[in-house]
Amino acid sequence: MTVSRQHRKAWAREALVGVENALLPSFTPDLRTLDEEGIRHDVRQAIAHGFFSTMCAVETGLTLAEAKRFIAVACDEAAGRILVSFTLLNDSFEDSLELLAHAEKVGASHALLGYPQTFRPGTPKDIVDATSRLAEATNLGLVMYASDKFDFVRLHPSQIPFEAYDALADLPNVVSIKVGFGDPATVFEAFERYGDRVLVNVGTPFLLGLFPLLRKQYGAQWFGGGSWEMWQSPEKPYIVDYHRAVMAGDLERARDLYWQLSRGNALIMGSVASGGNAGMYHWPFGKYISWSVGGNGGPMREPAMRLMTPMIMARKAQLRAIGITPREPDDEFRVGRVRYCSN
Amino acid sequence: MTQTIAKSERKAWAREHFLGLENVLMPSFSADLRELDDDGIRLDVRQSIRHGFFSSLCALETGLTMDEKKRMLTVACDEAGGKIGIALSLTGETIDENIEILQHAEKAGATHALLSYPQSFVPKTQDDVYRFGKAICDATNLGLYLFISDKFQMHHLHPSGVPFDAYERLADEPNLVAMKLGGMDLGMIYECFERFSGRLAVTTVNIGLIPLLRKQYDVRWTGAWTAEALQSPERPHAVQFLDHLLAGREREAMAKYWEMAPALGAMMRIMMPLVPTGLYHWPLLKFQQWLSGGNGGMTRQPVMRVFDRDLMVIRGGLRAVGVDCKDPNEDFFAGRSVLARQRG
Repeated sequence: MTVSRQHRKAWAREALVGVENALLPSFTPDLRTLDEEGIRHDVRQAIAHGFFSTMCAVETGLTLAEAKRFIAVACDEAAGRILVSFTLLNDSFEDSLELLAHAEKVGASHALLGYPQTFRPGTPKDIVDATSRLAEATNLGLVMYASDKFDFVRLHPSQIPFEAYDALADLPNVVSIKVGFGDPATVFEAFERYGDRVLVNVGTPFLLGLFPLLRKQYGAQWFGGGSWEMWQSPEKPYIVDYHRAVMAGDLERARDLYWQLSRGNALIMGSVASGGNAGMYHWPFGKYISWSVGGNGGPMREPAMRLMTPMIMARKAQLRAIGITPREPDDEFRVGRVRYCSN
Repeated sequence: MTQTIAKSERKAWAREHFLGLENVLMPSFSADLRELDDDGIRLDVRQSIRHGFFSSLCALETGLTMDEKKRMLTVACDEAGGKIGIALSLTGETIDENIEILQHAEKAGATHALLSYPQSFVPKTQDDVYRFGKAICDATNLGLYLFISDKFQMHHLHPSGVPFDAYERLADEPNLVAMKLGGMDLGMIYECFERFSGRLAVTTVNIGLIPLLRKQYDVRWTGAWTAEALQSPERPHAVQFLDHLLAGREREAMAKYWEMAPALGAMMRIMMPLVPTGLYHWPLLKFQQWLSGGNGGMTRQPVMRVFDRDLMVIRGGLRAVGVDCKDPNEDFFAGRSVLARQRG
């Protein structure tokens, strides 16, 4: 990408439109090495789903070298057909800086800002200083992240350190904010405070139903990296179609799609949320969600939450409830689709 | 206060009346739980007035006989004396029971009633829902408000659980005046506001959503829920939050919202896991009220149990927003009015 830091805000208004999914790494069955074929398969799947961008989740037990390789393979397979972003959820700011420099070279477009577990800012200025250092080191677009993971509730009860993010929103390559909270007052604050400077996105499925209102009131235009495959397949891309219908002002069709894709929500929303509450995600379930509508699947490295049978049953029932036939057999998931075929 | 309002005037009345917060009034009982405790009920009505609520909803589904339901309404209306509206939940086991209690409530001076459905009511079509609602509307001059709740299990009529076609028709009834959205699905909330906010005083129990909704819709109230979980009469955070919003003081409203956020978080932590049960934890709701001077006391079987761990979270949440009850938890179980009599 040749977009310079100074032009990133204008770039974002044109480029960040649509739905971005999360790309999880694939591994060989012994989990010792990345499975590039599996990663490439999932990038092609993201394109088939109709997503405009795919976000590499690097906080999934990768070495720094593997994280670089993961992003490079994703960018190579994408080849301009889909944007590639990634998370800056690393163990140190130095790792994040190295990853940013690498990602820019291999063709990624933007990154989700994150903070190491060891980062315990005493004041909002600490956050501004640390983030500015990242921003100034890259031409990539950066997405601020409103998330409970960082324990910023010490700085503001909303869990968003407003004072810090107010300053960061003015940086030229800070282009967006992902709102990872379902709390509507936090969403309101984010749109009111930042909506005229950065693109505030729909960053959690709990906000999905509010998209028509957020579009009308604030011009919301994209859904940030997440397991949106939960509610669609490439053949029945409900989420992508819902997004398009709202963008086109066809609210009747949007409502029909929303209620269609929501039919199985009572079956799955609890099990998905349980991982998020612990400040990390349930990667094996994320992979299963993706695999059951055509993704590669396969195991994830320790430390990993376990994929329990009731979750698998709930996922299948939820897919059937929204008119999608879940993929079989589960044995294929255990090793990953590309490996299963080749054995 | 309202007995003389004609059915045809109810929609205009509602636009003026549904302004602010409506709480929930739960019955208080004697120490052996055999009798209603009129003094305790009266104390809670006075508390509701002190909190600054515009209305108090009598929760009649709390283990009362028909006579006791009527008595509770009479006592509440008498104590209210026009200083606060008194509503009631239509949670009779049959439509006939609901009509009987409505007729009594109208005479006693209640203002409005929350339309609910008996457990045995399993509509096959939206027409069934409409006919049920229409019969209730026809039977009273009181204002009625629709209640959107997953507990009524109408998802077979629409995936949202809202029988939209039936409610589109009912919304035109002259005394159908408002709508309480008890569910949390934001798509459902959005669609209800889009469809009904021009005709009904629509609200959500999701108080944090109201600032955003007010950008597009004229939301003026929230209820019925135990807003005492967020405030005391001396520190009426939630009432002030809504006052600011209605006056267009958005920044002040949000500052107030974040001030009361710790208490809201504590409430959600305790109450949200209970939502799928389709029942309320009456004793814990009464505990929330007791911490700022409400009567407290236990309610009858069948009843969810009180655990110390939950009391600690609720007390801690309120303490964090400046509501620091000095009374020991043990005093809650009998209730202030019973204790006052026992202690002379």
